[in-house]
Amino acid sequence: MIFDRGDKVTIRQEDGNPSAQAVFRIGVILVLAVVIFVIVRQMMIPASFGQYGRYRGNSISENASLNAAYAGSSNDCGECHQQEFMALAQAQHREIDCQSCHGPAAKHVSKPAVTSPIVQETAELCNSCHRQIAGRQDGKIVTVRPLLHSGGVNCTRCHNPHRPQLSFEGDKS
Amino acid sequence: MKEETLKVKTSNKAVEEHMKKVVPRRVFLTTACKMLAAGILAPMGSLAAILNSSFAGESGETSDWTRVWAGKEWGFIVDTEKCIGCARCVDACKQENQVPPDKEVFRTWVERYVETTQGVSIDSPNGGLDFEPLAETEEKQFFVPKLCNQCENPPCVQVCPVSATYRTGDGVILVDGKRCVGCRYCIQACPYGARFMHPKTHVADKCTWCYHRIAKGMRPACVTVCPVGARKFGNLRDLKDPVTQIIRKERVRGLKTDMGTKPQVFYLGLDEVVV
Repeated sequence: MIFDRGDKVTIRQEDGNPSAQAVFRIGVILVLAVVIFVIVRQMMIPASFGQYGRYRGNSISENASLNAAYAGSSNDCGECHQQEFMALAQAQHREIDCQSCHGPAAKHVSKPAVTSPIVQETAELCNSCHRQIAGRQDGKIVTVRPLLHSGGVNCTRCHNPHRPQLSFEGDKS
Repeated sequence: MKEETLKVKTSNKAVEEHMKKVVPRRVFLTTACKMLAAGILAPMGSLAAILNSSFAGESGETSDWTRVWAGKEWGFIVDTEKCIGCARCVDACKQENQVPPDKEVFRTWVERYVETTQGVSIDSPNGGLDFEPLAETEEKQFFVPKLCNQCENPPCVQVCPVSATYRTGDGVILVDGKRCVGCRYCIQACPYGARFMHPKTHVADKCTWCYHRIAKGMRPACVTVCPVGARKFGNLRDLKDPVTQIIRKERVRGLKTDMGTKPQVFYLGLDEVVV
């Protein structure tokens, strides 16, 4: 190491102004660093970033273009199922969208033959609204104690959900 | 200097031999710098190429969103007087937005407040899908549906270190799943607990008021299925919109307004114990 240090001193003395050279060298390195930073930054940042704000603009379309599982409204159902649609329009359940009970039906609307949103088990489904629980007052909705009311059998044995006020009609539609 | 060179000369031959083998400092440093630069730049170039390819179709933005957003500012009303706690909204939301049904994560959920003389008990088993009957008492018992408040001043957007979440021009906070690194800052920052780590995608997830539906002119899934009309969705810029009418004429309140977040979900009939 001692030998090395001595060597350096002789070289610097030959070149003349050592400090100016050092400044020049640092300057070159700095400029290079900035250029590299700008190039890398340009490559890393997505093109649509900053289009609408400090985020990737294309992300909006990606979010907006996701497929909907639920169809727009009951009107889509009514176009084919007119009988049920008309029956429901006069019943106590008229405010309820078909898909509240039948589940997501966007696929069925676009391809009716592929999927069929028929409700099989109704006891649990009806209970989600009509079972008596704390917080669900009788003034808001008719509530029952399922076991006392029916022994837990399928509600459609007595009620038609499309015309619930007409009891003992059975599974007609 | 003379002394030092003398020292070298006077030292034994073994040391001299060793010194000859030593790489001079300058040579060592320049080589090291070159290797370091090459080592950093080479993988960076390929990394950038990978990143850019993952943002497919980046330059081909067709729809101009500023035009879509013009004259729109979405708002949401929750009528706690009407809610019967059926949790059809919770179920519909999970099906609409691919939120795993068997996991304890929710974009929207229903809380039940039961006020007794001992205090208030709040429960939301499985997001409200599995409410136990409990005993009917004379005290206050009611349901409060919760969802993202799409704050006008969103803390979650502020803390995101990679700009992966943002507020759209029509007032909905969205998540850029491709940019999100899953650091969970936004989940911590949200005072409403509306965000969660998606168990499948492993990025932050939250209610978007079904942005994919409202962009197509449909209502959010929870609003669509609510059997009692406890959830309402509309355009606050449209003075004739029923939602705007309610906000203008009825007594509505947002959640945790003292935090300065300016929530855009307005509650009707909210009790003061609700947090």
